[in-house]
Amino acid sequence: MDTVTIKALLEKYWQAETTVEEERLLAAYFKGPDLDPDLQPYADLFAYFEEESRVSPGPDLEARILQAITPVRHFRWGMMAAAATVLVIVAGLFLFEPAAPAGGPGVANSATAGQRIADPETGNSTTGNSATASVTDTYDNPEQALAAVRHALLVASVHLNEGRKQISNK
Amino acid sequence: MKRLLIISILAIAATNLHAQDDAIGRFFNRYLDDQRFTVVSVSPRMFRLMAKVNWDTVSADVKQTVTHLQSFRILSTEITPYAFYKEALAVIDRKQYEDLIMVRGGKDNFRFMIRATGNTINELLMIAVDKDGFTLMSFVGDIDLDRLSRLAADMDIKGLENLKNAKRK
Repeated sequence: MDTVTIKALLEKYWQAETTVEEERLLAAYFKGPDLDPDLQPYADLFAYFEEESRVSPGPDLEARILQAITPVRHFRWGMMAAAATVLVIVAGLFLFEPAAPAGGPGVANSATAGQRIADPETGNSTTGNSATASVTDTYDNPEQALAAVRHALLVASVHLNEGRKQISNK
Repeated sequence: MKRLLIISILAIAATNLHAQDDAIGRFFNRYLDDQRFTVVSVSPRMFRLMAKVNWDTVSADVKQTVTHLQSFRILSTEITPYAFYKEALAVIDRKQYEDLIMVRGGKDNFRFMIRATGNTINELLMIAVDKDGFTLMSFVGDIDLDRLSRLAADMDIKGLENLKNAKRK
């Protein structure tokens, strides 16, 4: 292999236009003993390429990669504590919702005083209306309940009219 | 740590919201079994049961008003009425309830407050006090004030006077 051919090939090599076969020729030349002194500096480069091409991954490469990309999970006691606290607070809000009290005699002013009936339906029957969520019944008879409501409505109505009258008098 | 702080703040805020939401309910529940108070409450379930009652003697306005109600509660006492009046006013969340009518002075001292969404009144609260007693009344439902006002207007004056006297037994 003459120096001129090698120099031409080398020129092609720098342009990245050489074929695999030509690169193999170049590598063989620089490995060989009869080097042109002009080309001596390149011999080291090709020796380096040769050396690097022999490097192969170790058998534990896959394991090392996996270890590197698997997130380490520390058990976060702080977060656990926070979550538990929130849970306790939320649970407390529901549990300590004013419970339907047991009936006490003498509280209500009707013949059926003391007969309170906790209403299991109220919790979901009145959509989003917390004011009714804990209402218990004084009466267990709808007629008596109606009479009481009518009476109360009349009282409220009387006051309402009084109030309106006062406002319009001013 | 920042997240923890945010969660705690949210939890506390939620607790407050809840507390405000049911201030009147808690006021009722606090005195529900108190011997000094007379309590009458009618649940939504009982209002539904009223559908089976004979309504023949009931006027159309009353019927309409009652069918639009969900629950009703009244709490009254003759003992230290002004103290309870003050307490009730302090408990009411002013963000939720707005004053409708306030009458002060004379022998009657009362307020109407409403809780409304848009043009619909969801709750009418009446707080009345005089030297003889304190009354807190809450109607929850869809309340038509004009209709409510007509209920008494239909009655004669004598009937009204009796009613007012019978209010506190």
